[in-house]
Amino acid sequence: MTKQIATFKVNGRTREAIVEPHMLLVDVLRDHLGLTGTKRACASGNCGACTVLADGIPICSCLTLAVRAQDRELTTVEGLVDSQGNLHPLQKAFITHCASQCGYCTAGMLMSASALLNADPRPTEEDVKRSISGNLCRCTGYVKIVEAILDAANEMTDAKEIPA
Amino acid sequence: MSDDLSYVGKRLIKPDIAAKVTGQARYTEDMVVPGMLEGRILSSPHAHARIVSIDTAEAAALDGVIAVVTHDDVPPNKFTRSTMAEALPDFAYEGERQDQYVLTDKARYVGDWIAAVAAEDIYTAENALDLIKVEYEELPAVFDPFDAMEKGAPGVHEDAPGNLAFEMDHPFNCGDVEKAFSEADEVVEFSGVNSRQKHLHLETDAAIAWWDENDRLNIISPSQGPHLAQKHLSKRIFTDIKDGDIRWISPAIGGGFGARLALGVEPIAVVLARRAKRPVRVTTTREEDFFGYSSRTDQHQTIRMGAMKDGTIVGIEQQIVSDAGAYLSHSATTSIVNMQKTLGLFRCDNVHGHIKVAYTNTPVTAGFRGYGNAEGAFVVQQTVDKLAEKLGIDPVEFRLRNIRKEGEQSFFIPCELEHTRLKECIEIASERFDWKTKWCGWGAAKTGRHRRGVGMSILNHASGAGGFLLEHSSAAMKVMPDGSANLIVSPCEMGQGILGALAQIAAEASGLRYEQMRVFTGDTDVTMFDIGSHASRSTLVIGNAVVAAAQKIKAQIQELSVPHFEERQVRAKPEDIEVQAGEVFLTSNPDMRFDVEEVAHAAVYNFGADGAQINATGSYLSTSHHPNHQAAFAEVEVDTETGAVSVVKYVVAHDIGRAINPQLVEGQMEGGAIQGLGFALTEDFVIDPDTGRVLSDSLLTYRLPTVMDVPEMENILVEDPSPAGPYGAKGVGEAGVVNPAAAIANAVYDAIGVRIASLPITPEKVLHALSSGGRHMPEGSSRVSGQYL
Amino acid sequence: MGRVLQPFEYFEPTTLDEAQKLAAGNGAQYIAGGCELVLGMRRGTARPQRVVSLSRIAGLDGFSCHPKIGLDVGAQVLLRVLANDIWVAKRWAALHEAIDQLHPPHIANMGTLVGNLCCATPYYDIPTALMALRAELTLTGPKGERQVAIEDFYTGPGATAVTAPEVVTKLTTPPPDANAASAFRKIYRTRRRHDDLHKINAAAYVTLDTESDVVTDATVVIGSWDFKPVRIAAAESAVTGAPATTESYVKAASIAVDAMEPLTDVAWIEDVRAQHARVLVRDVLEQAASRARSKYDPAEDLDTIEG
Ligand SMILES: Cc1cc2nc3c(=O)[nH]c(=O)nc-3n(C[C@H](O)[C@H](O)[C@H](O)COP(=O)(O)OP(=O)(O)OC[C@H]3O[C@@H](n4cnc5c(N)ncnc54)[C@H](O)[C@@H]3O)c2cc1C
Repeated sequence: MTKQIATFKVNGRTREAIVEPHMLLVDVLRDHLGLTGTKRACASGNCGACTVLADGIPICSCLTLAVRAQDRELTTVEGLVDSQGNLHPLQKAFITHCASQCGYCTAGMLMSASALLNADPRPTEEDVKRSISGNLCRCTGYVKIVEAILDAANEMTDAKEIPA
Repeated sequence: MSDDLSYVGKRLIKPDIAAKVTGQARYTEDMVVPGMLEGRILSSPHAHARIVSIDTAEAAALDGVIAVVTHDDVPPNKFTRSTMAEALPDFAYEGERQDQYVLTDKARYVGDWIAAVAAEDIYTAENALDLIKVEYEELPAVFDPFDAMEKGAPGVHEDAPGNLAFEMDHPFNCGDVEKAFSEADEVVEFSGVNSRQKHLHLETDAAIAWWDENDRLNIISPSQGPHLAQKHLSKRIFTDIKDGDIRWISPAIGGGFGARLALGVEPIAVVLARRAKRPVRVTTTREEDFFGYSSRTDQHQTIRMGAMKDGTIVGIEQQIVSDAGAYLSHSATTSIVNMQKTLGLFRCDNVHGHIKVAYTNTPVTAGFRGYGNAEGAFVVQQTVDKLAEKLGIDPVEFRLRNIRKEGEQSFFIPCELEHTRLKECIEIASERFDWKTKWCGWGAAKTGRHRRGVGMSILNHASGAGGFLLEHSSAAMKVMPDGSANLIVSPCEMGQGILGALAQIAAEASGLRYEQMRVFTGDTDVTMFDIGSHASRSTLVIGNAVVAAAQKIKAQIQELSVPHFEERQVRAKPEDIEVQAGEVFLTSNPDMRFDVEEVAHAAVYNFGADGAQINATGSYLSTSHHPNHQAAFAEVEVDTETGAVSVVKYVVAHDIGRAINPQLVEGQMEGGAIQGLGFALTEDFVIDPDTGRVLSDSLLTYRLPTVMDVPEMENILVEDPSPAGPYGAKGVGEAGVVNPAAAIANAVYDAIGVRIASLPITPEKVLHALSSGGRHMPEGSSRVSGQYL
Repeated sequence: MGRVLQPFEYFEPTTLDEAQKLAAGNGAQYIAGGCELVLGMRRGTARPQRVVSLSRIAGLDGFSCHPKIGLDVGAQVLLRVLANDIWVAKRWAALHEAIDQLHPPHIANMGTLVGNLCCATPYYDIPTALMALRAELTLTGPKGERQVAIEDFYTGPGATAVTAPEVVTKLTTPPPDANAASAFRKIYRTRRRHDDLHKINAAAYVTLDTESDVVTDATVVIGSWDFKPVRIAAAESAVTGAPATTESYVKAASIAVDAMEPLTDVAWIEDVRAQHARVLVRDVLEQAASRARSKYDPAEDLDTIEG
């Protein structure tokens, strides 16, 4: 057997798990590391529900072999809260705009949006739409999701602009 | 709308959302039961085949495999995936034919469930599936519902001659349509069919089943109606188990849209758990969802409609031929509901409807948000426009002349229509859309490559199906010593926000605080009987049960507050006391107030003879449909060179009665509209007419709307409390998905002058329509799902 | 077709030599970005016994793009690198458009350009664009290197010129002519038969004589119609030497479409496919020519912003 102890850097921590090469990152995150916030919905790279960040870039954890993700900084939805446990501005905005209905796409949406805001703190509506164009939502019609992301972007830049 | 309400009508944060944005919400597949095995299902590669033999020996011998089951191991009882049989009166129940086994005796469609495995881990389970050897004898198959009813067609079920699964005349047929048509000034006919839209709930189906230490069967699954499912499972399949012996837990649900009103893999999980004597979790893949699961039923409809010169509709006739797929499930009942909505929208004394449902060797179809209404609207709203055109009347005007008014007969069930604001919806939405400017009259010539057009559609929909379904519900409430409360209710939270709406109602009616309201649902051991979340019923039916319980709570608080005022040297009678937003005060002197906690605490920590926690239950029985209404307007642009249709603007107004939480209502309308947009334009469920295999078996070929497809939209709430709803609320869950395809189809006609007869309105259909002048059925097309033009 | 993958051996060699030794046996497959192979393994279309990673091999990460020198893309280069490159956007517009329209965008973060070509999936977009841009692949085997033009790369349904254990080490294209430009477009369609495809795309590369506004050189490619993108010589020669007008493009589009064989035996499906292809070919020619004429391309705006 090719079982091995793999080391993952997830949400700023180092975690170990016994894995085999054929295991998918989405399954290892969920079943081995207990990070069930990441969802498997199409397992084909078409829906974005399993989106996690690898070195800050959105990838589909359903198309990634877990062993190959070992040397990358992974972030999942569980890692969006800060070290004091405060919600990320995106999470707060999703709550106030009611941008999550059934919630199955939400983690992926948040991860794609957070990658955008990290790279571009002042996105246009078009930028926001493009950033989540690979994340399908069957419930909301996307309207409140786009509003929430734009709102969070404003919050974040406003917060930065307040002199210390 | 404000009145003097603390919570109702406000945009409050729904209780389940925080867990959803942090990834903490627990869905079925996130749960682990100690000792749990992984279950997987083997499905048929053939559309129609006799199973000559199954050899499971090698699979069973694989290390880590605990159970392998086939048809021989499942109860010898037939059931249907639809659980609605248990909620229907006899006349409709016939449409719920019990026609399948947990694992099949014969493959009736590509994807039919043949065998199942439980193993220590998912990898072993899948490996074992590969080792099961099935010998099939392929049989001739039929995929087209009309072919299926021809003489000599291959039989899908031995006991369904002519593949006729169900046939009926509409129970409320009235008058004489033939006579009405002969007397009418104009009569038009239009035929069309909707597509098998997939629910595409992102969470693929899953279930966990196990017997606990008390020998009770526990099931966790994303059910939209666990009480009905519990009854159905015990009454139809596992007849040795009583419904009380099952504890059914329906946790966070990753989208329902009607799909979870049918049983999914739960019976297989139960069979495996029983055999393995261990907890078993059965999971599925997106591909299996495409092959084997439910979708909307494709209903081929021909509608005739006649009217007088002045625009009065005098006769409507609807003939439906529905394709059930291999098993009946919801396909007959959605067809009945289609007729009910389609034939009932307009005032008309001569109405005739007839349904036939055929079996074919294709995947099972089912109920989907809108439940027949979306299927019907696409055809009937085009028929209406066709008639208006013949008469030379503006489509807005034509509809306004014929819609039912308050006090007239309602058609859902024979009773009076007690509340409608459809007229206002049409007027407001057409105004905001600027219909008068945008619509250029019938036959307005449009030229150029890109042509714009406008169209509309209206609907009536139920808020629960009182008088037809088992529409009662009960709620329980208890007040904790700290003044917070637990509300126990039985909707299923699929994202629609019903827990928030019910908590707002409970807080308003009891006088307790919304922020301190805890809502419990989705556990048949705790919640009281209720038929689940569907039919746009939960806010009205469950909401009224909540009002009943909460009012009792308030009365108890008022009563128990009397001595607390006495302590403050104030003499008050219960009726002088008001409870609101967690505080108790005197109506005559609102400054005289204290926190409800004082009363709640004293009630429990009371060593006297009257010590008792404040608690109450409340029930409600709905006896009518309390229809909600909606009017929608769409503007499209058609690229006549590629046939592509894009929606430029979409305006809709909904007759909500009162929005308990406008934000949640908007969420339903926006989500419904985009789901409807997919239904209208891109979501194409295609079956290969040669093999019966689903060709659109992934999200690559079955295209859901993305954020890039969202047009400029306006969603307007028309609020005017209805007498029946809690605080005047009516339903909104399903309506949003009904109008888009119909309004868009009418707009496409306005743009190009040709009607499209099947959904979705894809580029090739538009091109074909343009080049053939609207003739359907070119050489080589058929009525198999996704092949009709 | 499962929920998970079945076991295989996995190796991460650091030299090409080592990789080719590991991949020499039957049942071995390379993995680059992995998104295609992983999907194939889950859906059961790929069942390798051994998976050999190309990710740690030195020298495969080269990327350079210069309007006077050409495009040079190593086997490890992700699509996103090209998506973000200003010269690709300006001078290799067809490729930029094909990558920009990838759905979902995550794929550009995971998949390699070379991997996309190696998939030999008939409905992918990037091969169409690269054929219009006259790309060439470098295949390195135990016996050395060879160059294969992209037209010769696809040898049959799902098959390429790669013979195990060869590795496609890089992809190159010549620099575009100073007066040339390219364009790519696609249309989604419904897949109606098992032999049908759910998409159709086209790309063109056009050089103009800017004085006379005559087309002096062109590549015309239709993709997602056959097992590989098809370059249509008859259409190219029809448009070459012709005035750069819509009329010429319409004519070339007709010729291009007539050169194609039907995919299914259903006439109306093929009529629509032909109509779509005609529109696409006409439009990409028109757009490429217009870009060549005005030297305008979609990245122009970006350029001004950057000053
Ligand atoms: C959900 C999804 C959507 C997509 N949408 C589009 C789209 O819209 N348009 C489009 O054009 N493409 C699309 N693609 C294709 C995508 O671009 C490719 O899957 C990806 O680029 C492949 O690269 P990779 O590095 O991941 O390949 P891998 O998965 O690593 O490899 C793919 C195959 O190529 C072989 N291979 C890889 N590199 C080499 C090499 N250097 N030498 C020899 N053999 C090699 C492997 O052995 C394997 O068989 C989509 C893919 C997915 C999964």
